[in-house]
Amino acid sequence: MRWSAHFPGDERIDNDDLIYHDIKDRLDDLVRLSAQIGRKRYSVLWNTGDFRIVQNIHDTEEVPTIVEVFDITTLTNVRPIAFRRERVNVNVHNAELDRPFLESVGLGFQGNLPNGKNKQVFLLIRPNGSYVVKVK
Amino acid sequence: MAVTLTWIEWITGETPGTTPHDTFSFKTGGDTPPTITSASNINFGNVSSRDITAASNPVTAGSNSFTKYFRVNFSGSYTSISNAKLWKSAGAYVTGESIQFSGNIAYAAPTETDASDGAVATATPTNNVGLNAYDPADTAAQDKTLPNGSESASSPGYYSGSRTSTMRFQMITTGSSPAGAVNQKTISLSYDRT
Repeated sequence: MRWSAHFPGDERIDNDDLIYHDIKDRLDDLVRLSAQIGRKRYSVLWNTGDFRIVQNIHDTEEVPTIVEVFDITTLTNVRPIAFRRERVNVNVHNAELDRPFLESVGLGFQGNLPNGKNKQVFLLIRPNGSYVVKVK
Repeated sequence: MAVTLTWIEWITGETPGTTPHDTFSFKTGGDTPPTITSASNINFGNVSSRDITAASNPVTAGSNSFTKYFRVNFSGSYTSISNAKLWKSAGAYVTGESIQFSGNIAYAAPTETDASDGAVATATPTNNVGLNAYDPADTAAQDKTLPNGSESASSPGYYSGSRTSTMRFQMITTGSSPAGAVNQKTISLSYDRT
C-alpha cells in the first residue's frame, strides 16, 4: 500500500509505510490524504471531509465514488487519521513468533465538536479493498 | 520501515525494571541499551522458564501451568502505537483446559496458583493490553498510547524502547482434562500504528 498527501500546486508526499510524521506540521495546507491499495485509491478531501474512492486508478474514465459522512468544517483542531492496523500471531506449543502483517488501514479525520468532545470519522480498509465507515 | 515486536519474558528470579537484562535506563536517553532477553513462544509448562518444551514439562491434569509474564517491545518507525488487543484466534481447548490472560498487571513471582485473571478473549476484543509501559502498577487505564510523554526518539519518528504493560498468561486445567498434548493455539496481538 502507499500513502499520499496532496498539497497546493500538485505537491505530493508519498510514503509506503506511514505518513503522519511527514505531514503533521503541514495540516493547514493539506488538500487531500490518500491510501492506495492495489489499484484502488481511497482519499479524504480535507476541505469537506468527503471520501473519494477510485476502484481502478488506471481507468481514466472512471467516475469516483463520493462518500459523504460528516462535515469536517464543523470541527476544530482537525487532525488526520492515518494508521496501519497490524497484527502478529504467536503460537502456543511448538512454533515460533510470526512477523507483523497488515490487517487494515485507517484513513480519515478527527477533531473537536463545538461541545469539545472528540469526533473520529474514518474508513477501515482491508487489504482486499473492502471497507467500512467508522464514526466514533 | 516496519516495526519489530520483541516478546520479553520474566521468569522466576527476574523482575521487570531491576533484573540486569531489563534495566529501563535507556528509555530516558543517554545510556547503552541493555541486552534484551526475548522469548520465541509462550508455551506453558510446570516450570518457570522461557521457550518451554511442553512435552518435557507437562502440566498435570487438575493443576495449572506457571504464570508467564511478558511485555512486548516495539521498535521501528512510528509516531504512536495504540489500541492494542490480544485474543486467542485459533486452536480449540480440550476438556477442562483454558488460558487466562490479563493485559495490564503488576509483576509477581511466577507460580502455579490460579491467578484468576479470566479467560483470554476468543474474538477480537476491545483494547485489552495496557500501553502504559512505565507504570505496571497502573491497572486502571487500558487505552493509552505509545510512546508516552517521556519516550525519546533515537531519530525523528524512530523509537526503540516502547513497551506494553506487563501481561500475564496461565493455562488452567481440571481433573477431567485428558492426558496427552493439547491442541496448538494461536494468540494474536493487533495494534494501530501511525
